[in-house]
Amino acid sequence: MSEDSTAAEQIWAVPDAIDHDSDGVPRLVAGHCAHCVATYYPRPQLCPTCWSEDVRKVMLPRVGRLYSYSVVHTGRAGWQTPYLLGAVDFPEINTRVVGVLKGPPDWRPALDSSVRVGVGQICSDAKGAPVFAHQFHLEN
Amino acid sequence: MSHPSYRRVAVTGAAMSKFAKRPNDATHDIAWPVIKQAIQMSGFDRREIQAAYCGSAFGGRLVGQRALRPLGMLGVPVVNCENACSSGATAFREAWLAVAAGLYDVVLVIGVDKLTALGGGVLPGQAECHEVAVGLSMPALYAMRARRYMHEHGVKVEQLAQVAVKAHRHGARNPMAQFRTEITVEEVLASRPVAEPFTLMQCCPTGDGAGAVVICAADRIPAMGGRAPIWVAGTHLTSGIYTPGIRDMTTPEITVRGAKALYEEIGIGPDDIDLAEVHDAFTIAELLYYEAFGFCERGGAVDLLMSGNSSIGGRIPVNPCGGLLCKGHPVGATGVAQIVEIVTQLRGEAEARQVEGARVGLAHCTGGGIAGLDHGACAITVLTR
Repeated sequence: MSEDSTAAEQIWAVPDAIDHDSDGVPRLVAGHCAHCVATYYPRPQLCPTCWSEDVRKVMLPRVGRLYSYSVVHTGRAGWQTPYLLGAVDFPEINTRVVGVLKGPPDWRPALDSSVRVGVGQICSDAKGAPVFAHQFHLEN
Repeated sequence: MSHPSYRRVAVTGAAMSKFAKRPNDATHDIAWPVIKQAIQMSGFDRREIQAAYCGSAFGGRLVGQRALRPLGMLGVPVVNCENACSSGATAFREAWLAVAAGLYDVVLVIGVDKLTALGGGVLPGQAECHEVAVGLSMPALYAMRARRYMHEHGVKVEQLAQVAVKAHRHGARNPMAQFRTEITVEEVLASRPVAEPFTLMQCCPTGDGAGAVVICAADRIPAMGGRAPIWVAGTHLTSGIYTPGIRDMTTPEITVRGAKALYEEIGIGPDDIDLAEVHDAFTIAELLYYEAFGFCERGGAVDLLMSGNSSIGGRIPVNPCGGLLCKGHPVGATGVAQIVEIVTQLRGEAEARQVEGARVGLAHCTGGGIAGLDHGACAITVLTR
């Protein structure tokens, strides 16, 4: 990355999958089919259910429920281990999102805990540049 | 899927290499000795092989041609199949289909991979997958299944580790296994963590190897020096259903559906199976597959394991060869090696790991991580004596 990189040049693990509320709180962006109302994360260009190409942006709730997770000790290049990786459910619109969990050292969250959507660096790319994505934090 | 006009198909030759780390051997040098052995066992001359189907996930292009060139066997159609962990099993299914449908009478199936060429560690994921991009790997995926299963059924890590203990107890009896030593629960849990709750010994190792079988139509069974043909009762291939929303990760959708379809198609049930080779890439997988195949009720897998009934000598021995956890998992070779093991067992040639009186064996190979799918592919084959 150049010295004068801006936020717009940040590298995102999943492109176009984060937006923000007016108060600056990050939200995950999914796709909602205008024709058959199915929801997909990340937002696809085509609805796999009905083939409509009118798949509109929908924000997922700020808080999800932790379905399961692992503490990953053997990561790929660019990842600092160990890291927590979880599958988080948003039952309101039947969507599951996998992502890094951020918490205190040695954190082992209880399944079905509420977790809050955040954003941060998750790893580095092959050139050492930071890669950003959604992260989940324990909801207080 | 079968068809009333399909011909009966038999396996006549079956061979595999010892699974091991062989970084200094070329892929074709891992494959050709096994192919030669399978054809020599089959009762056919190499010139009678009308086509070859080769499964490999990481071998690159033209793996089948590269494997056959040292044997002087080219000039026939060679079909190379990539279907992740099911690559070899997919090659077997396509070969069976070609013979059953009457396209060929005598066909060779190869499965081969050389994982040491990848440099070790976790298998590379698809960089374009959004879940891989945020840190998902196969160990992490299975680990999440494990943690949820343990949460819902009150399973302890010590019980999960018992799957690896059983795998090594079996594999210690198998000269082709990558590991030949028995292990304890304490050793399993003390091995280094990979993706919690998994430690290293709860994950299949990387390694290199090959398997090969020769199949033929029922009216072409050759003399095989007293060996019996082993019949393909049925073989089923499917892909995972895209379920992007909330889904139950403690039941393997693709295997449950595939097992049901194959059982119905060939008119058998779990009680008719004498032994099974299932895709135990990680400890939790074997437990999930006990339930998927109906060897026990949902939630009853640990009880089945601990009862000894899934061990050699029990009601339904699972992975008597040691399974992927102990025998090893050179990805594309596995599906064919499972067929080799079943054939060996049904012929009564498995020596120290023999399942006595085995007449019906099941081989199950599934894998391939894709977001929203249980797995990418699943191939299940039932063989009978």
